[in-house]
Amino acid sequence: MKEDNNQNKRAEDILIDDFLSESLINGKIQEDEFQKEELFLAERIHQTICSGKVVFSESERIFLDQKITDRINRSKKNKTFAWISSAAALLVMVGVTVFFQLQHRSNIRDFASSILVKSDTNFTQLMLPGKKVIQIDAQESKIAYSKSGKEIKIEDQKNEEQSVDADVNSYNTVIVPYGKRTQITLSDNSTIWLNSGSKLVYPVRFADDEREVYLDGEAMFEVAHDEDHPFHVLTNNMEVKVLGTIFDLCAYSDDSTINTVLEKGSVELTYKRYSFLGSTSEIMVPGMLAVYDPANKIMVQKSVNTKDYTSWKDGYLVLEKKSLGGIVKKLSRYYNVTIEVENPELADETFSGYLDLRNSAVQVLALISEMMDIELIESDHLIKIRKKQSSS
Amino acid sequence: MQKEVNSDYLLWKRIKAGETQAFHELYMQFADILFSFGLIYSKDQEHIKDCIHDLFFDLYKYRKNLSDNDHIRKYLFRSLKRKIQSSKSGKLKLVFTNMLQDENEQKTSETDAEGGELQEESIENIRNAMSKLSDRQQEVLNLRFQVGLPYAEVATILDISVESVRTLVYRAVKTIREELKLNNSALILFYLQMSVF
Repeated sequence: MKEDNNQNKRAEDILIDDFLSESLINGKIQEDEFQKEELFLAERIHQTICSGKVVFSESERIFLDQKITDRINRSKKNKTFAWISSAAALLVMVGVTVFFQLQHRSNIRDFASSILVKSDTNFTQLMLPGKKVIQIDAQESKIAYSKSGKEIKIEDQKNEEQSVDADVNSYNTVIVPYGKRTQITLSDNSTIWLNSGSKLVYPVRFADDEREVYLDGEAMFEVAHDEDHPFHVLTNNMEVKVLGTIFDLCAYSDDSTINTVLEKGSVELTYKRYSFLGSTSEIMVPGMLAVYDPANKIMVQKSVNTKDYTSWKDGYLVLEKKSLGGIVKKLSRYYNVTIEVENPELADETFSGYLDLRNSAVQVLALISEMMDIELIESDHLIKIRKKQSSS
Repeated sequence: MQKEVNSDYLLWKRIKAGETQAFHELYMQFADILFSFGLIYSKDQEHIKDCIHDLFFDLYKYRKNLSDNDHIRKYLFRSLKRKIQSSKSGKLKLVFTNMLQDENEQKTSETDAEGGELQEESIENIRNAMSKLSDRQQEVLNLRFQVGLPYAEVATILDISVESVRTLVYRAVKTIREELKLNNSALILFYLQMSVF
């Protein structure tokens, strides 16, 4: 306790004492009260022990926090659906629309991914539970369900029947090959125009609390208004929830972006973003185009002429300063032909105009070639586009 | 002190209620010290981070089984130690990797340019002496000085009395000193050199 007492203290006495070791660490110790040798040894021992310390870097600490929060939220999502539903009811009251959910609906996604699309078939296929497949040959076909979902009218004539007593996890699938389109009227009277090279999955019978469908490709939705049964469109990377509206959703898995165009009503898009909560949502108003890039998790909205994006269902394309590369991709899906652009710089050139899709691919491209400085070379299943050769 | 217990208690209640924000707060409060604590039992930083992740998710998963009076710190430290050791093969190894040594030696030699070599030597000697201590002694020294936990907490974590912890530390330091004397260490030389200035 007194100074001369400290003179007798050895390194172990200094380190064992809470007050002295604290002072030592902070450099506040009265050095002259101790034997220098012992004080020095205590200091070095402390220093040596602490040399194993590694600082947990800020970025790693935050990253781990995010991982933990994500993990907890993921396991929560399965359980908190009821709570989110009540939050949605609030939104409906405000008159806006929609809300979202991303993870809990894995059933329909799992089912959709289990279906393999045969790329060699030229028929539009309707797959019913129990491996029954109906093939439809028409270029533009129609599939319509009765109110109960039991009877299915194909091309206004052929009738099919299916049992709707099956559990909620049985689905119908429509697969449209390149070059064909189909119009589907679901049991709730919602109409969906499914574009070429697309797949739509929907349950045999909608669940009691909601309607959900899965889309890979492009479709135009005219959703029958029903507040009590919100309508969800799921894609691989995004989800759209609607109460009654018209919009186009273009989510081909071989496109790098998912485009949503809203013609009427209101929808809310839910998608993954780099954030603590993992996913986020955004409301769309009519006249907007939302482009989502799943790889970089970026969402951008801009105002557009919606007809440019939805006119395909009526058999024409309105193009305003669209890149040739993009047009070619659309046309090759629509007509199921391979179109090659020989000069890469051509792909970035833009074209504006009105294309009647009742014409053949070559006719449509010929129209474009009149406006641009390009020429077409036709062979069996391939159309080549190249810069017009100046000679001859 | 009482206040701290109370705020811990409130956080614990929110944890039990499964509030995500509470887990985030708990994590922010303990991340650094848990990481530093984990380093005593494994030098594999990725493994430690995985264990911390599992620790918090388990806490969420089994929150309903937690009793009201569990002490948060005690629970976290003990569970993390168990996790790190149980999922790792072999017996526990105590700190000092070469990589860590290098980093720290660089630091010390920068700050004390003069006599740096001797200082390094003295640290190297102490390190050697430490490696001859029992695992328990090394663990206690590290918990007390590297992590900076008070004796009472070290005692709780190890489930021994505070007196036993103090005795372990005391004997450990004493042993180190005797070991150094045996080696007629450079430490004394260094000390003499220092005292000239």
